[in-house]
Amino acid sequence: MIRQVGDTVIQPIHRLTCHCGAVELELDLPNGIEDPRHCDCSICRRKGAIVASAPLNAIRVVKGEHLKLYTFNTHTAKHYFCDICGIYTHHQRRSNPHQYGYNVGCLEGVNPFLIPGIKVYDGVNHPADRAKV
Amino acid sequence: MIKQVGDTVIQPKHRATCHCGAVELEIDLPDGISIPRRCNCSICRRKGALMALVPLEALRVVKGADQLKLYTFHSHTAKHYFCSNCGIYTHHQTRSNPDLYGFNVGCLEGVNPFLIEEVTLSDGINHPSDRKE
Repeated sequence: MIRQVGDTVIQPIHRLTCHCGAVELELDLPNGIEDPRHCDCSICRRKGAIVASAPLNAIRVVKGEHLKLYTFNTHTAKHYFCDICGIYTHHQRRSNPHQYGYNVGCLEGVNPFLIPGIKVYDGVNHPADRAKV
Repeated sequence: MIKQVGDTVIQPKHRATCHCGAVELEIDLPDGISIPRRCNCSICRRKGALMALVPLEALRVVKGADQLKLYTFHSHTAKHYFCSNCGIYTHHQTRSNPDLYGFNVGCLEGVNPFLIEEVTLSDGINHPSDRKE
Protein backbone atom coordinates (compact mmCIF):
# COMPACT_ATOMS: atom_id res chain seq x y z
CA MET A 1 0.00 0.00 0.00
CA ILE A 2 1.53 3.30 -1.06
CA ARG A 3 0.36 6.37 0.82
CA GLN A 4 2.95 8.88 -0.40
CA VAL A 5 4.95 9.30 -3.63
CA GLY A 6 7.79 11.81 -3.40
CA ASP A 7 6.27 14.83 -1.63
CA THR A 8 2.72 13.96 -2.68
CA VAL A 9 0.48 12.39 -0.04
CA ILE A 10 -2.27 10.23 -1.57
CA GLN A 11 -5.58 11.78 -0.53
CA PRO A 12 -8.68 9.78 0.53
CA ILE A 13 -10.31 11.39 -2.52
CA HIS A 14 -7.55 11.97 -5.09
CA ARG A 15 -7.90 13.75 -8.45
CA LEU A 16 -6.71 12.16 -11.67
CA THR A 17 -6.43 13.96 -15.03
CA CYS A 18 -5.35 13.25 -18.57
CA HIS A 19 -2.66 15.57 -19.93
CA CYS A 20 -4.80 18.25 -21.59
CA GLY A 21 -7.25 18.40 -18.69
CA ALA A 22 -10.36 17.47 -20.70
CA VAL A 23 -10.82 14.31 -18.62
CA GLU A 24 -10.94 14.38 -14.85
CA LEU A 25 -11.70 11.56 -12.44
CA GLU A 26 -12.14 11.46 -8.69
CA LEU A 27 -10.81 8.34 -6.96
CA ASP A 28 -11.48 7.04 -3.48
CA LEU A 29 -8.05 5.92 -2.29
CA PRO A 30 -8.45 5.62 1.49
CA ASN A 31 -5.75 2.93 1.52
CA GLY A 32 -3.43 4.69 -0.92
CA ILE A 33 -2.26 3.15 -4.20
CA GLU A 34 -2.95 -0.60 -4.25
CA ASP A 35 -1.01 -3.10 -6.32
CA PRO A 36 0.85 -0.78 -8.74
CA ARG A 37 2.21 -2.79 -11.67
CA HIS A 38 3.04 -3.06 -15.33
CA CYS A 39 1.59 -5.79 -17.54
CA ASP A 40 3.10 -7.27 -20.67
CA CYS A 41 -0.09 -8.14 -22.59
CA SER A 42 -0.55 -6.77 -26.10
CA ILE A 43 -2.24 -3.56 -25.04
CA CYS A 44 -0.53 -2.86 -21.70
CA ARG A 45 2.94 -3.23 -23.22
CA ARG A 46 1.98 -0.54 -25.74
CA LYS A 47 0.48 1.74 -23.12
CA GLY A 48 3.45 1.27 -20.84
CA ALA A 49 1.58 2.86 -17.94
CA ILE A 50 1.85 1.89 -14.29
CA VAL A 51 -1.61 0.69 -13.34
CA ALA A 52 -3.29 0.19 -9.95
CA SER A 53 -6.74 -1.18 -9.06
CA ALA A 54 -9.82 0.28 -7.40
CA PRO A 55 -13.42 -1.00 -7.01
CA LEU A 56 -15.82 0.30 -9.68
CA ASN A 57 -17.66 2.49 -7.18
CA ALA A 58 -14.39 4.14 -6.08
CA ILE A 59 -13.90 5.94 -9.41
CA ARG A 60 -16.17 8.74 -10.60
CA VAL A 61 -15.84 10.56 -13.91
CA VAL A 62 -16.05 14.27 -13.08
CA LYS A 63 -15.31 15.45 -16.64
CA GLY A 64 -15.62 12.84 -19.35
CA GLU A 65 -17.15 14.06 -22.58
CA HIS A 66 -13.81 13.43 -24.33
CA LEU A 67 -13.37 9.87 -23.05
CA LYS A 68 -13.12 7.33 -25.85
CA LEU A 69 -13.78 3.61 -25.33
CA TYR A 70 -11.65 0.89 -26.94
CA THR A 71 -12.35 -2.84 -26.68
CA PHE A 72 -10.94 -5.94 -28.44
CA ASN A 73 -10.81 -9.75 -28.30
CA THR A 74 -13.50 -10.71 -25.73
CA HIS A 75 -14.59 -7.05 -25.40
CA THR A 76 -14.84 -7.60 -21.64
CA ALA A 77 -12.21 -5.07 -20.68
CA LYS A 78 -13.23 -1.47 -21.37
CA HIS A 79 -10.23 0.76 -22.07
CA TYR A 80 -10.74 4.51 -21.86
CA PHE A 81 -8.50 7.30 -23.14
CA CYS A 82 -8.82 11.03 -23.81
CA ASP A 83 -9.59 11.64 -27.48
CA ILE A 84 -7.73 14.98 -27.42
CA CYS A 85 -4.38 14.06 -25.85
CA GLY A 86 -4.55 10.25 -26.15
CA ILE A 87 -3.76 9.60 -22.49
CA TYR A 88 -5.11 6.36 -21.03
CA THR A 89 -6.96 7.19 -17.82
CA HIS A 90 -8.65 3.96 -16.68
CA HIS A 91 -10.15 0.65 -17.76
CA GLN A 92 -12.68 -1.84 -16.47
CA ARG A 93 -10.67 -5.00 -15.95
CA ARG A 94 -11.17 -8.30 -17.68
CA SER A 95 -9.69 -10.47 -14.93
CA ASN A 96 -12.00 -8.72 -12.43
CA PRO A 97 -14.81 -6.67 -14.03
CA HIS A 98 -15.76 -5.40 -10.55
CA GLN A 99 -12.60 -3.33 -10.59
CA TYR A 100 -11.13 -0.50 -12.60
CA GLY A 101 -7.47 -0.24 -13.36
CA TYR A 102 -6.26 3.37 -13.43
CA ASN A 103 -3.18 5.19 -14.64
CA VAL A 104 -0.99 5.99 -11.61
CA GLY A 105 0.90 8.60 -13.68
CA CYS A 106 -2.34 10.59 -14.00
CA LEU A 107 -2.81 11.03 -10.23
CA GLU A 108 -2.36 14.69 -9.36
CA GLY A 109 1.22 15.40 -8.28
CA VAL A 110 2.41 11.81 -8.62
CA ASN A 111 5.65 11.00 -10.44
CA PRO A 112 5.09 7.26 -10.97
CA PHE A 113 8.79 6.59 -11.52
CA LEU A 114 9.44 7.33 -7.85
CA ILE A 115 7.53 4.18 -6.86
CA PRO A 116 10.08 1.44 -6.25
CA GLY A 117 9.70 -2.25 -7.04
CA ILE A 118 6.99 -2.13 -9.72
CA LYS A 119 6.20 -5.71 -10.73
CA VAL A 120 5.21 -6.90 -14.20
CA TYR A 121 2.05 -9.01 -14.55
CA ASP A 122 2.15 -11.94 -16.96
CA GLY A 123 -0.56 -10.57 -19.25
CA VAL A 124 0.80 -12.56 -22.20
CA ASN A 125 -0.77 -15.52 -20.40
CA HIS A 126 -3.85 -13.66 -19.19
CA PRO A 127 -5.63 -15.37 -16.25
CA ALA A 128 -8.92 -15.26 -18.19
CA ASP A 129 -7.27 -17.20 -21.05
CA ARG A 130 -5.68 -19.88 -18.89
CA ALA A 131 -7.35 -23.27 -18.81
CA LYS A 132 -9.55 -23.66 -15.75
CA VAL A 133 -7.85 -25.81 -13.12
CA MET B 1 22.44 -0.64 -28.34
CA ILE B 2 19.88 -3.41 -28.01
CA LYS B 3 19.79 -5.86 -30.91
CA GLN B 4 17.51 -8.48 -29.38
CA VAL B 5 14.66 -8.43 -26.84
CA GLY B 6 13.68 -11.85 -25.55
CA ASP B 7 13.46 -14.02 -28.67
CA THR B 8 12.85 -11.07 -30.98
CA VAL B 9 15.78 -9.88 -33.07
CA ILE B 10 15.52 -6.18 -33.99
CA GLN B 11 15.37 -5.95 -37.78
CA PRO B 12 17.14 -3.28 -39.90
CA LYS B 13 13.61 -2.21 -40.88
CA HIS B 14 11.35 -3.10 -37.99
CA ARG B 15 7.57 -2.80 -38.01
CA ALA B 16 5.71 -0.96 -35.24
CA THR B 17 1.94 -0.96 -34.78
CA CYS B 18 -0.62 0.54 -32.49
CA HIS B 19 -2.86 -1.99 -30.74
CA CYS B 20 -5.81 -2.13 -33.14
CA GLY B 21 -3.56 -2.25 -36.21
CA ALA B 22 -4.94 0.92 -37.82
CA VAL B 23 -1.52 2.58 -37.63
CA GLU B 24 1.66 0.95 -38.86
CA LEU B 25 5.17 2.40 -38.91
CA GLU B 26 8.38 1.18 -40.50
CA ILE B 27 11.45 2.19 -38.52
CA ASP B 28 15.07 1.90 -39.65
CA LEU B 29 16.92 0.30 -36.74
CA PRO B 30 20.12 -0.99 -38.37
CA ASP B 31 21.94 -0.78 -35.03
CA GLY B 32 19.03 -1.88 -32.85
CA ILE B 33 17.26 0.13 -30.13
CA SER B 34 19.38 3.02 -28.88
CA ILE B 35 19.17 4.22 -25.25
CA PRO B 36 15.65 3.14 -24.28
CA ARG B 37 14.22 5.60 -21.79
CA ARG B 38 11.27 6.81 -19.83
CA CYS B 39 10.76 10.46 -18.91
CA ASN B 40 9.08 12.10 -15.92
CA CYS B 41 7.66 15.21 -17.64
CA SER B 42 3.92 15.92 -17.44
CA ILE B 43 3.02 14.02 -20.60
CA CYS B 44 5.57 11.18 -20.53
CA ARG B 45 4.71 10.27 -16.93
CA ARG B 46 1.10 9.86 -18.09
CA LYS B 47 2.03 7.87 -21.16
CA GLY B 48 4.44 5.69 -19.22
CA ALA B 49 5.79 4.27 -22.48
CA LEU B 50 9.34 3.13 -23.03
CA MET B 51 10.83 5.26 -25.84
CA ALA B 52 13.86 5.40 -28.09
CA LEU B 53 15.01 7.97 -30.65
CA VAL B 54 15.67 7.86 -34.41
CA PRO B 55 16.32 10.53 -37.06
CA LEU B 56 13.13 11.81 -38.72
CA GLU B 57 13.95 10.08 -42.01
CA ALA B 58 14.27 6.70 -40.26
CA LEU B 59 10.57 6.51 -39.42
CA ARG B 60 7.81 6.18 -42.00
CA VAL B 61 4.05 5.92 -41.47
CA VAL B 62 3.10 3.10 -43.85
CA LYS B 63 -0.53 2.75 -42.80
CA GLY B 64 -3.14 4.84 -41.04
CA ALA B 65 -1.75 8.37 -41.35
CA ASP B 66 -5.39 9.50 -41.40
CA GLN B 67 -6.00 7.61 -38.11
CA LEU B 68 -3.12 9.34 -36.32
CA LYS B 69 -4.13 12.17 -34.08
CA LEU B 70 -1.72 14.99 -33.26
CA TYR B 71 -1.49 16.54 -29.81
CA THR B 72 0.66 19.53 -28.91
CA PHE B 73 0.89 21.80 -25.86
CA HIS B 74 3.04 24.44 -24.14
CA SER B 75 5.65 25.46 -26.78
CA HIS B 76 3.85 23.29 -29.42
CA THR B 77 7.27 22.21 -30.67
CA ALA B 78 6.92 18.54 -29.83
CA LYS B 79 4.36 16.72 -31.98
CA HIS B 80 2.77 13.81 -30.14
CA TYR B 81 0.93 11.23 -32.24
CA PHE B 82 -1.50 8.53 -31.12
CA CYS B 83 -4.00 6.23 -32.79
CA SER B 84 -7.43 7.84 -32.66
CA ASN B 85 -9.07 4.40 -32.51
CA CYS B 86 -7.16 2.61 -29.73
CA GLY B 87 -5.37 5.57 -28.12
CA ILE B 88 -1.89 4.06 -28.32
CA TYR B 89 1.01 6.52 -28.55
CA THR B 90 3.13 5.54 -31.53
CA HIS B 91 5.73 8.32 -31.95
CA HIS B 92 6.49 11.99 -31.42
CA GLN B 93 8.76 14.62 -32.89
CA THR B 94 10.87 15.69 -29.92
CA ARG B 95 11.14 19.16 -28.52
CA SER B 96 14.73 18.89 -27.35
CA ASN B 97 15.72 17.99 -30.93
CA PRO B 98 13.07 18.39 -33.66
CA ASP B 99 15.32 16.43 -36.04
CA LEU B 100 14.43 13.30 -34.07
CA TYR B 101 11.37 11.16 -33.51
CA GLY B 102 10.82 9.32 -30.29
CA PHE B 103 8.92 6.08 -30.78
CA ASN B 104 7.11 3.62 -28.54
CA VAL B 105 9.37 0.59 -28.00
CA GLY B 106 6.33 -1.42 -26.85
CA CYS B 107 4.84 -1.03 -30.35
CA LEU B 108 7.76 -2.80 -32.07
CA GLU B 109 6.57 -6.09 -33.49
CA GLY B 110 7.29 -8.96 -31.07
CA VAL B 111 8.99 -6.77 -28.46
CA ASN B 112 8.07 -7.08 -24.78
CA PRO B 113 9.51 -3.80 -23.47
CA PHE B 114 9.57 -5.05 -19.89
CA LEU B 115 12.34 -7.48 -20.81
CA ILE B 116 14.68 -4.53 -21.42
CA GLU B 117 16.67 -3.96 -18.27
CA GLU B 118 18.85 -0.95 -19.05
CA VAL B 119 16.29 1.86 -19.03
CA THR B 120 17.28 5.52 -18.65
CA LEU B 121 14.97 7.97 -16.88
CA SER B 122 15.10 11.41 -18.54
CA ASP B 123 14.60 14.42 -16.28
CA GLY B 124 11.76 15.92 -18.29
CA ILE B 125 10.43 17.82 -15.26
CA ASN B 126 13.44 20.07 -15.90
CA HIS B 127 13.23 19.96 -19.69
CA PRO B 128 16.47 21.09 -21.40
CA SER B 129 14.47 23.61 -23.47
CA ASP B 130 13.12 25.22 -20.28
CA ARG B 131 16.44 25.45 -18.46
CA LYS B 132 18.06 28.86 -18.16
CA GLU B 133 21.66 29.08 -19.36
